[in-house]
Amino acid sequence: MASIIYKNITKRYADGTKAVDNLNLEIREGEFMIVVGPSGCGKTTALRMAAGLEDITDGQLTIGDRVVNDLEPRDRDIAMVFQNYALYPHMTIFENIAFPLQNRNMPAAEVKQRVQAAARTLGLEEHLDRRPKHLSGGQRQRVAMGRAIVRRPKAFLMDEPLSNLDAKLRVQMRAEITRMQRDLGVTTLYVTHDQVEAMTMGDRIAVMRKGVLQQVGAPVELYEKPANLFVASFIGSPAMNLVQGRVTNGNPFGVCEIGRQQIALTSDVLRNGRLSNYHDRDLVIGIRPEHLEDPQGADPMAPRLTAKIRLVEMLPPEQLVHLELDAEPVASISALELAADVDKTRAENLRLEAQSHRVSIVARLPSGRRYTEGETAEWAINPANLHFFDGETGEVLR
Amino acid sequence: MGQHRYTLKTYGLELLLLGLAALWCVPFYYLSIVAVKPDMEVFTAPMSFPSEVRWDNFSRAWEGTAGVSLGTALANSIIVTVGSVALLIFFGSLTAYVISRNRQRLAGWLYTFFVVGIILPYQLAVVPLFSSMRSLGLVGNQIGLIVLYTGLFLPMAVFLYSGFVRALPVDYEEAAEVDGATRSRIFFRIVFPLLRPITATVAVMTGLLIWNDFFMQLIFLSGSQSPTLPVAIYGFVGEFTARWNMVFAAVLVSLVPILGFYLVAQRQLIQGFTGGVKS
Repeated sequence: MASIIYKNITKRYADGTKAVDNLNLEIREGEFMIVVGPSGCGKTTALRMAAGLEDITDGQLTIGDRVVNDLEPRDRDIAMVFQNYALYPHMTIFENIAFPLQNRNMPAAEVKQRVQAAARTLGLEEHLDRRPKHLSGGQRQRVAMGRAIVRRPKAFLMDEPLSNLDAKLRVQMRAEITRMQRDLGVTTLYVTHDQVEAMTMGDRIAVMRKGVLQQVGAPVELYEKPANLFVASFIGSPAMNLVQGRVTNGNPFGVCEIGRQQIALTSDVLRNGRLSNYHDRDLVIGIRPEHLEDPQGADPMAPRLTAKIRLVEMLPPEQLVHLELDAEPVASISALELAADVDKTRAENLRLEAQSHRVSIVARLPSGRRYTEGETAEWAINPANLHFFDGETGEVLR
Repeated sequence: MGQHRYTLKTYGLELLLLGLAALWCVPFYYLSIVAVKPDMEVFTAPMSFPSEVRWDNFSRAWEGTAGVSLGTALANSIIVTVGSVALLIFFGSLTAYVISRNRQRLAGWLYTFFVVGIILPYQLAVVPLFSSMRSLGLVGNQIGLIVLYTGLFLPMAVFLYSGFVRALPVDYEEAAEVDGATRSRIFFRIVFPLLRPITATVAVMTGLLIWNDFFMQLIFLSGSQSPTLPVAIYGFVGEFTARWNMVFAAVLVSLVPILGFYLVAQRQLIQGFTGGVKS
């Protein structure tokens, strides 16, 4: 077991593009760290640099107490699980799992014993004599895991290991990998573009965008206190609702204006962060879908937001109610760019909404009550749950 | 759907193709009938069916000429072909692997160098090759021919292997590298076994070319005590007369090993031409 420390790590290609830009990240001993981000954000490059498969342009990478910048992959004592598993097709499952041990000239008897132990853990005992092509996707995934655990390395590196599996198997393997990591306690760096995997598996999550680390923290921390618009939009499903608005004087503690509607703020909203410097300026206001509540069950004093019900998606025990709000959608170029990085269709929707001065938002509610499509209704909102972002820089203001 | 598999058109087409296939067999027919003709009939009625089938033509042909039996020549041919093909596979795969995986410009130049080597006719270099090989003591023996063929066909082997290596996912090698394997171990344990289909193709293609080559073997082995099959067969063609029935019988004999090899390696050969690696 060992920690992995990225210190001012930069990866620049020959044509000048920066895949990773000044990355500072520490994966503590025994920690399960997930690096998440859209494709092309530099997460895989960061992982491959730890494996030694990619040169480091600048900075210092440490595994345990050893700087590994110039160390060959074979000398790093790490194990890697590839996206397509990279099982050697001409070898049997036994030979595949035994390969890393044989490379270390381990006596045959010990190799056999260790491979069988790994196979037992992973439920692969019956398949040891077969070739990878005769195995299902999930079994191949297990073999790849077996090849990683059999050596008892200092760290595991996993590059989107579940992306080739179907949805059901992915959920199952997600739990298996998490359990195995907890049992073995091996430092793990896991790369994925799937935020559900990130939220459910890791001790901590590092979010990357365009080669730059955006935020590191525990899953709940990232969800509740995103550092910027990108993290806010990326983490959470359905994504956070984003609306253009502003904060003005009025009421004792200020008012948040969304279209023609006003939400009275409470003292704690303005007290924290830099929001007080943003009076009368356009902001991006973020509302998590579960923070739009039915007034019947909510605090009677809570401010209300009126919106028209456009579509109801029943997903017992909850329902997603799509609403149409008379307000300005997020229009600043940088905010659109951020949205496009998360999801291209999302940016396109924002652009279309900008023309109609209406914003589509989603509320996540318990499935108990029936809502009629086409009706206009009021929704309770706790001002303390609102997120405010600078529209230009995307930085969080509160 | 619901229609008969054979329409008039497909029937006609099939007949035409069968006819073409039959046409392809005509030379083999003549090869077979001339091989069993009595000596004189080869000249009096070369195209007719033999009036008397002379199976002993094969045993007479087997005795060979100039004191070297066809068996010895066959062994020589096998030594030269197998030796050359083995070296071609070893050097070809290794060279192609290095060239294809190296991203530096030199690798590109080297690749071009080998491609040019395929295009240039090697017959042009026979005179200087002969004199330099003679001074190295490589004329008139199998080792000389093995060295010669390895050099002549290496460009083709490198070209064939390179195309395959480029299509081979680099993940296997990266996985092996992380798994602690050395460069040579990665090549011999991981890459080389994955090259099996193209290795079969290289073996069959170069093997056929070497087995059937007459020109180089005539020049480098003529008059020696270790002729290969083509040179030994040519021994039946004298200055004033040619014993064509002997020649044809010997040719039939020499066809057997290469045909056998093709049948054994057929599946791999086709896969090498058409497919990549299935994981």
